[in-house]
Amino acid sequence: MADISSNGTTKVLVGGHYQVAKSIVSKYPNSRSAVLPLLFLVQGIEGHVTDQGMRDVAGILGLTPAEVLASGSFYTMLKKKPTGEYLISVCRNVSCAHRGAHKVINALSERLDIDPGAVTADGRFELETAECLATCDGAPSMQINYEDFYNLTPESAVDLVDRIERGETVAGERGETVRTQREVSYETAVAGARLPGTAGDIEARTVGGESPPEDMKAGDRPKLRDDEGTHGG
Amino acid sequence: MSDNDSVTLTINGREVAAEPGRLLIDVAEELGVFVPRFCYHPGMKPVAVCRMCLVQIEGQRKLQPACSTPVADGMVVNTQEAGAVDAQEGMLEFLLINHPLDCPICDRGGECPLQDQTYKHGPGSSRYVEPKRTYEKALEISDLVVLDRERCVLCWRCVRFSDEIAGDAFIQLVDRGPGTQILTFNDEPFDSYFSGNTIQICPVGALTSKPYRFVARPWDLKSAPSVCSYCSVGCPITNESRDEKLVRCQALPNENVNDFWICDKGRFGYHYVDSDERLTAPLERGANDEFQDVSWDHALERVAAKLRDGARVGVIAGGHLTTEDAWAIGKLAKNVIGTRDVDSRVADAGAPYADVMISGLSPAAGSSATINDLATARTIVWMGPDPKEALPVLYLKLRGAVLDHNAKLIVVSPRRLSLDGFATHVVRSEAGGEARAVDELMSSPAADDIGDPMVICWGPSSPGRDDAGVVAALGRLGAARDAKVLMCPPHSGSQGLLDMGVHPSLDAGHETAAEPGRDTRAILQAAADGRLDVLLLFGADVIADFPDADLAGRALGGGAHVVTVELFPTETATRSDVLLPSAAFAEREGTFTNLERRIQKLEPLLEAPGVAREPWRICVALARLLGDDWGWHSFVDVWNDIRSNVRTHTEVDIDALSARGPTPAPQYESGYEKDPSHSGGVVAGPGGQYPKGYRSGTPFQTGQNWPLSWELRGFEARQRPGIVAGTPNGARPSPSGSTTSTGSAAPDGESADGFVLYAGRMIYDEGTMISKSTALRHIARRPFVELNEEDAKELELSEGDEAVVRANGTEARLEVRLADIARGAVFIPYDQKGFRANTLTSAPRVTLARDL
Ligand code: SF4
Ligand code: SF4
Ligand code: FES
Ligand code: FES
Repeated sequence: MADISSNGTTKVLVGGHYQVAKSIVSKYPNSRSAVLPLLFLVQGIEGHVTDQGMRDVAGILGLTPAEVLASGSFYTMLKKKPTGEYLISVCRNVSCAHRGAHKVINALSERLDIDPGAVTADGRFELETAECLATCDGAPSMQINYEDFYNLTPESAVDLVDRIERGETVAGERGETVRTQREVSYETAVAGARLPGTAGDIEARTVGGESPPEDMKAGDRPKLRDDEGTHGG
Repeated sequence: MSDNDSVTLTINGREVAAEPGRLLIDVAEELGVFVPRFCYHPGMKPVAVCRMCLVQIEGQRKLQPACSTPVADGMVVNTQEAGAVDAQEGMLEFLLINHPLDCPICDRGGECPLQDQTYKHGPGSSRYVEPKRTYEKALEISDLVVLDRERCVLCWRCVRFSDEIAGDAFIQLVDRGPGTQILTFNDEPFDSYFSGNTIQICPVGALTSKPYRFVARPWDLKSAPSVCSYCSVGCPITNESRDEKLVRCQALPNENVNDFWICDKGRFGYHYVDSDERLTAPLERGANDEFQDVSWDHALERVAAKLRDGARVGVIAGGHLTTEDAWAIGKLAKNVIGTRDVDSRVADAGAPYADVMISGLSPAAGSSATINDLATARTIVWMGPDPKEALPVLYLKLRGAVLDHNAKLIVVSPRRLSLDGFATHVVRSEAGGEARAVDELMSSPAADDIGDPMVICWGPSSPGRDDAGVVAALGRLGAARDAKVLMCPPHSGSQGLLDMGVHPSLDAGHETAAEPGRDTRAILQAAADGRLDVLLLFGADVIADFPDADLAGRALGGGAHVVTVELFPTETATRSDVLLPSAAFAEREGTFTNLERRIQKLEPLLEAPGVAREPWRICVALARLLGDDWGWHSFVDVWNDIRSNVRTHTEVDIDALSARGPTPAPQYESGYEKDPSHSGGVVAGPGGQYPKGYRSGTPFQTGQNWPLSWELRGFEARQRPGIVAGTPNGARPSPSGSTTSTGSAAPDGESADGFVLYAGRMIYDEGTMISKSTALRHIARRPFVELNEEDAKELELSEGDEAVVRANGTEARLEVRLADIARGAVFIPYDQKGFRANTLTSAPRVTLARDL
C-alpha cells in the first residue's frame, strides 16, 4: 500500500500503524464500529485528528471521509485542531462554581498566559472550561488529560502545572499518572486489541476494552445476560 | 372488522382500514389528514428525528411520532388534540430559533415546507430574542449544489438520501448540539450523480440548485409534467419555465419507474432546449454551399421532389424521438416512400434487440419484466453497460433490490462496474468471453444463488462484445427457468422506435418483416458507395454517434441527397443538403416508451423556437406531398392511427396517460377552506398549470395554497403511472430475418491481434444535448483508456501515461488508467472532452502502444 494518498499527503496509518489499525478493526464483528478507536489512533499518532488521518480511516473501513468526519466531529475528546500536550479541563458548573472554580480558572489562565480555549505558545498546555465532571464531591475539580484532581485552590492548580513543566510525575486522584494527550489517545485506541507481535490483549486502562467472545461473527449481537433476556428479545 | 390483511383505526374521528405495518403518517395522509413533518419522506426509511409529526394516540402517555408508528387495530388517533397542537407549535418555534427567515432571498420561498407548516402549525410569534447562530452564507459544495447552513433544520433527509438511496455518503451532519451543521468532508465536493435530489427533498432552502439560484420565484413558474429526454429509464419530471425559458426540471414521483428520484443529468441537462444554437427555420444548401433560410413549403417540396419516382432512400432515426415520431417515420418510409431500409439504432448500431424475442426471453423485442420486478426478484443477472453511467436511476433500483429486498445480483462483465460494490457475485468474463461466462454460470459458484423469480437484464454495450452470442446465451439461461428479461436500449426514445417498427426486420407491434431491409451500417455503406439517392436522418447525428465515424462521413459525402431533421446544426446536419428544425421534448405533446415498455406522456410547456416542428408533423407533410394524406392534425389523431394499426397498442388509453385529477380527491383537513375554484386537490393537469391558488395565486395566502410540499405533489404523479403496452402473442420471427448487417462486429481484415475494445457512455459527456447544458458541460472528464495492470506492464505503460490507441488506421492519444478489467480488454468512454471514441470503435479490436 502506497504511503502517499491520491491528494499528495503522506498517509498516517501506514506500516506498523496500519497493522495496529487492522488489529483494532478485527476486534469488532462490524468493522464500522472501529471508527472511534481508529480516530483515537490517529490522534495518538498525530496529536489531533488530521484530515489525512480521517481519509485513512475511511479507506480502511470502506466509509467515505464525510462519514468519518460526521462520527469524529461529534465527540469533543477527538480534537480536530492541534491541542496542547496537557489538556486542563476545569469544571465551571454549579457545585464547582460555588466553591471557587472561577478563581482556579483565572489563576491557571494567568499562569499559562492564555484564555480558556487556547493553547500555550509552546504547545504544552491547553486550558478549557468544562461542564460537570461528575466529581462534585471534590469541587472545585478539574482534569488533566482526563485524570481527576479534587478540592483545588488557585495555588494547588498552578502548582500542578509547575510540576508538569518541571518534568515531574504527577498522579491524579485515583493514583494514575498523568500522561500526554498522545499517550492517552493511543491507549484508548488499542484497548483490548491484540497488537501484532504481542501475545495477548493490551490492558484496557481508560475505556471499555472488552474483547468479544471468540465465537462472535460479523453481524452477531452481543449476548444478553440471562437476567436481561426478557425484554426486547 | 379486521382480519390479517387489514386493521381498523380511527383518525380524527374517522374510521379507516389499513394494511398492518403501514405508517400512521401515510395512512392519515391518504385519508386526507396531513400530519406536518420534516424528516419523514415516503421514499426513505423513517428516522423520527424532527418530532414535527407528534400526534396523540389514546392510551399512550406521551405523544407519538406518526412517521414511525405503525398502525394497529383499534388505534384511536387525534392529530388536532391540544397536546399535539402544542407540540407542533413548540417544535416550529424551536426550529425558528436559529432559522434566518430570509425567505425573500431564498429560492425555496413560496414552496417551502418550513414556511408552509409555520403558517399552518406555527405559534405565530417567537419568544426568542437572542442573536441567531450564523454561518458563512452560501457554500458551493459541488458544481451543482449550493449549501446555506443557516437554513438547515437538521432533518437528515439529504444525508439519508445520499447514504441509503444513492450510496454516496458525501454529505453529513457534523459537529454537535447547536453547532450541528450539514457539510461535506472539508473541501471535497458533493460529487454524486444524484445530488440534485437532495435539493428537491430539502424541506427548506438549505440546499439549492446552482443553475436555478435566484432565477425565479415559484409563483412565476409555469409547469408541465413531462418525461426526461435522456436515457431509457424514462423518469417522469416536471418542466418549469419562466418567461418562456425552461429554468428547472424536477423529479415527479412514479413508484413504477423512478420512485422519487432522477439523476443529475436529467435534472440539470435541460439547457439545450433554450440554446441559442437551436435550429429555428428550414435551411437549404444554396449554390455557393451556404445555407439559406427557406419556408417549410419550399423545403418540403424540395425534399418530396427528391423522394419521388422510385428514389433509393435510406431512413435513420436517432434515439430521442417520441413514439408518435417513430410511428410516422416508419409509416412514411415503408408505406409512402416504399423503402424497408429504415433503422433506429445509431450509437447502438447492430444491437440484436430482435434476438431477445427470437431467443424466447420475451414475447417482444423489448422487456418482459418491469423495473419493479427487480424488487421482487430472487435473482437478477446484469449483462449490460454500467448502469450508474448509462441508466442512472435504474442503478438506484438495482441497488435497492439488492440492499432492501435481498435480491441476489450476478454481474457478468469484463470490467468493474459500479454494481460490483454490492453484487452477490461478480463474474469477470474474459475479453470477448461474455457469452461463455453466461453459459458457465450454472456451473459456477453463482449457481447457488440462481433461483426464481429471475430477471435477466441485458443492454447492448460495446463494439467488442458479441451481443448476439450474449443474447443467445442469456436465452438458454432464461429458458431453463422461465426468467423475465429487462431489455435496456440506450435512449429515451429507443424502445418506442422499436415498438413502432423503425427497424430493418421488425414492423410495428414486433411483427417480423417479410423482407428485411438494410440496417444503419448497411444504409450508410450504400450511401457511401453511391447506391442511395436520399438519406433521411431524423435526429440521427451519425458522425458523432455511429460507431464508425469514418463510414458515416463517407456516407454523407457519397452523393445522396441528405435531409436532416434536427434540434441543432450538428456536424452531420451541417453536411446535409436540407436541414429541418425539430421541436424539443419540452415543447411538445407526445410519449416516450421506456425500457420496460411503459408509455408516459410529455406535455408541452414552451413554444418551439421559430418555426420548428415535431418530426411527425414533418412526416405528415411529406406524405401529403407524396400523395398520401394521413389526416393527422393532433397527437390524438396519431394515436388513433397507432391504435388501429399496431396490434400491441390497440388498448393504450391516451386519456389515462394524461390522467386529470385524482380520484377520489384528497380533502386536506388542514383547517382551511377548500379553494372553491378547483375540486381536484393538488394535481397538475395536462397542459401544465398547477391548480389555481397554487402556482398562479398569491402564494402567501396559504389558506388556499396548502399543501404545497413536494411530497404531497406525489399524488399527482401517482395519477400518471403510464401504461405498459401489450405484447404480441405467438408469431416469433425466425432467426434468419434478424440481421442484414454487413459484418458489424467482424474484424475488418485484421487478425485477432490487439485488445478487445469496450466503449461505453459516462453520465456526462460531450453529446449534443448535454454539451449545451451550462451546468454540466464542464463536468465531462478527460478521455482515457482503461487497461489491466499486467497488460500495461507488458506494454511498459503506467497510470497516467499517454498511450497511442490505434484502430483501422486511426489513432488517438489517451491517458492510461489501470483498472479492474479482463486481460486483453480495454475500455474507452464515448465523447469525453475533445475526443470522439467512435473514430476508434469501427473495429472490435484496437492496438495500444507507448507514446514514444
Ligand atoms: S440541508 Fe436540508 S435536507 Fe439536509 S438536513 Fe438540512 S434541512 Fe434537511
Ligand atoms: S435516469 Fe435516465 S431518464 Fe432518469 S433522469 Fe437520468 S437520464 Fe433521465
Ligand atoms: S459541578 Fe464540577 S464536577 Fe460537578
Ligand atoms: S416527521 Fe416524524 S419525527 Fe420527523
